Amino acid sequence: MSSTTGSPILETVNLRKSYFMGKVEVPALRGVDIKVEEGEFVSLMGPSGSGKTTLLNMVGMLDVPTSGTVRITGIDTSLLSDVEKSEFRLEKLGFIFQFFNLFMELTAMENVILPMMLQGKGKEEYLRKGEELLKVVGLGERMSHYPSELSGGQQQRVTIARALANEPALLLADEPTANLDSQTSIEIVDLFGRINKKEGKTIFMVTHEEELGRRADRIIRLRDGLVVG
Amino acid sequence: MNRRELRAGLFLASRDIMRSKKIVGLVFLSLAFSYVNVVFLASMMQGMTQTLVGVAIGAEGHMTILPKEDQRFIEGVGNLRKKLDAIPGIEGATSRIVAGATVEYKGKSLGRAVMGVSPRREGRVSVLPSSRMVDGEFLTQNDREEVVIPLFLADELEGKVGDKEYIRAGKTIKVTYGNGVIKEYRVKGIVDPRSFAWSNYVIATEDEVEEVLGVSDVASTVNIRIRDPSDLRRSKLELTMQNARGDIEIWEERFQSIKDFTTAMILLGNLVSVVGLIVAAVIIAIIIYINSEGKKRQIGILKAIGAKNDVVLVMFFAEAIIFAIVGIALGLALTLIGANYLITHPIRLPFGDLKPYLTPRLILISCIAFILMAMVAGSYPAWRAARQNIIKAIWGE
Ligand SMILES: Nc1ncnc2c1ncn2[C@@H]1O[C@H](COP(=O)(O)OP(=O)(O)OP(=O)(O)O)[C@@H](O)[C@H]1O
Ligand SMILES: [Mg+2]
Repeated sequence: MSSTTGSPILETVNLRKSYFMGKVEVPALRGVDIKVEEGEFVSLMGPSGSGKTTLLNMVGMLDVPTSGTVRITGIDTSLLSDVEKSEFRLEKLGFIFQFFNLFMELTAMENVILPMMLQGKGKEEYLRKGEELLKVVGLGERMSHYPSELSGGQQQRVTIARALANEPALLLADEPTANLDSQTSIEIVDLFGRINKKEGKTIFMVTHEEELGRRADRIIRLRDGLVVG
Repeated sequence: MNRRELRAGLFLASRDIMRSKKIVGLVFLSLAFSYVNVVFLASMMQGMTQTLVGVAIGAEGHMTILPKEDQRFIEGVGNLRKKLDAIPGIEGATSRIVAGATVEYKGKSLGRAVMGVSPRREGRVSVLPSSRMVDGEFLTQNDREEVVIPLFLADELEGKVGDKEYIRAGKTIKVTYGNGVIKEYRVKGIVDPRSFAWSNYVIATEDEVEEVLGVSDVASTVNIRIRDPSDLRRSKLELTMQNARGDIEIWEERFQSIKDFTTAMILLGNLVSVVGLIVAAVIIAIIIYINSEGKKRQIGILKAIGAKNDVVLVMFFAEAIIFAIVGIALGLALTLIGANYLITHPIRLPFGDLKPYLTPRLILISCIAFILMAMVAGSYPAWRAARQNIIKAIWGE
């Protein structure tokens, strides 16, 4: 189960997902094939209801597909147990959701060090790394602020720092700027770009704003649960 | 479960509790009162028991020797007492002689009895000679023609309403014994032994009563106080083997009703403790449940970023335990303050002081019970929070 060099960091094959409302089947993904190579910054775009969040949840192993395969770093995720999935997310993935990302009871610093704590890293290491990451996202001065004392944009920066804390192979972001004004949104996406270029992180970002999507290296478009370009 | 899950869970629990001070403060307070509920009444009941047992033993000693079933008196009391005094485990022994009599004062006449005691020996067994004198003085060994009247009897004997002739030291009462002897006794004092045990007796010296009855070297009872009352049944057995002159009863047998009453009181106290525990359990379960409901999205995120269920489990379980521990600490402080006040200002009852009796054992048991309760109460909501579906949790469903 080790990653083979050359294989894409993320790959889906004929991925399908249907939700069931009672007996009515709601197909959200109807055979999605995508590939993301290591070091790419890819945005996933499409109209509301096209299945973007659904796809991201499959990729992030937060939900199971109805059929088809998701491979991350070459590993078929359907072969993993729930505990192995947690472990995999902890070691290999970084998440940024649209909202409710942070723990309100924890400071910016504490939010960022949480994944490292879960990984069992030592205190000295996670404090140093936490500080470094908060500086990367431009919050070196706000480390002991609570989320309620930060703006929406600053909160998302903390979330990005947290998503990087475990040194993930793949960063997954579901409309990370949906709650932000356009200026701040551009800053956040540019931050993604910088992280992608500087650290070589692979980023898979959902957005429905054309201007933001274009800042990525490549755009994958979804419509009615299918890739359209 | 790994150390790292434990550490992360404890970290989240402690931060959660520290950040929601107001709510947590209220929870701490209500749990503190629940804890008080668990231990306070139980300690009062223990205190009541102590008082009643003290009254019983203070009145009759630990053990009482009674005449054999078909006899009026125990014979050869002088020798018996000497034998008893020689037993190292015995603190003191005294004999009493009781004679039925009618007592008259200011035209009021009551059918009661005269108890003859040895003032010198009585003090080594019962509280009577050392009790507070409301008026006058207690008897001395060689007193004759004088009696002491217990407060309860004095109240009964008092003259008719409007008559200011209250009974007190220096007054005279008339005693008509069952054998026809009539005596005028000077009241030497009014004693308040704070026990109903003497309320039917006029107290005279043993020699006085023996002389009236025309007997000597006999007794109605021999009362014994022993040094180590921890195993009275064994002491009774030992004594029975050495003594054939009477039947021996320990205080529990003699005051069966007190024993039954205190058993019932302790049971009631325990019942209230159990109710207090249940109330605390409900408080903890509800608080953990509400807290975890309010944190659904955070739990979802936590699990999404790779925390195992155990982290969530530890977080809420630890909160339950922290609630219990702080509840105990505050509750114990309140209890000790309250108990201390009641010990210095006891509730005065006619037969003794009612005050809490807090033993280390009671405190230990209540603490253990409280923590176990929190474990049980916290585990279900914690488990429920931990096993939530990530997607549903993130979307707050
Ligand atoms: N839990 C669910 N139960 C039933 N249907 C669902 C569920 N989640 C999503 N769907 C349906 O699946 C389809 C895809 O939803 P999804 O949330 O993936 O869209 P999206 O592209 O993320 O849209 P948006 O841009 O509005 O976030 C929609 O038709 C939606 O109604
Ligand atoms: Mg969506």
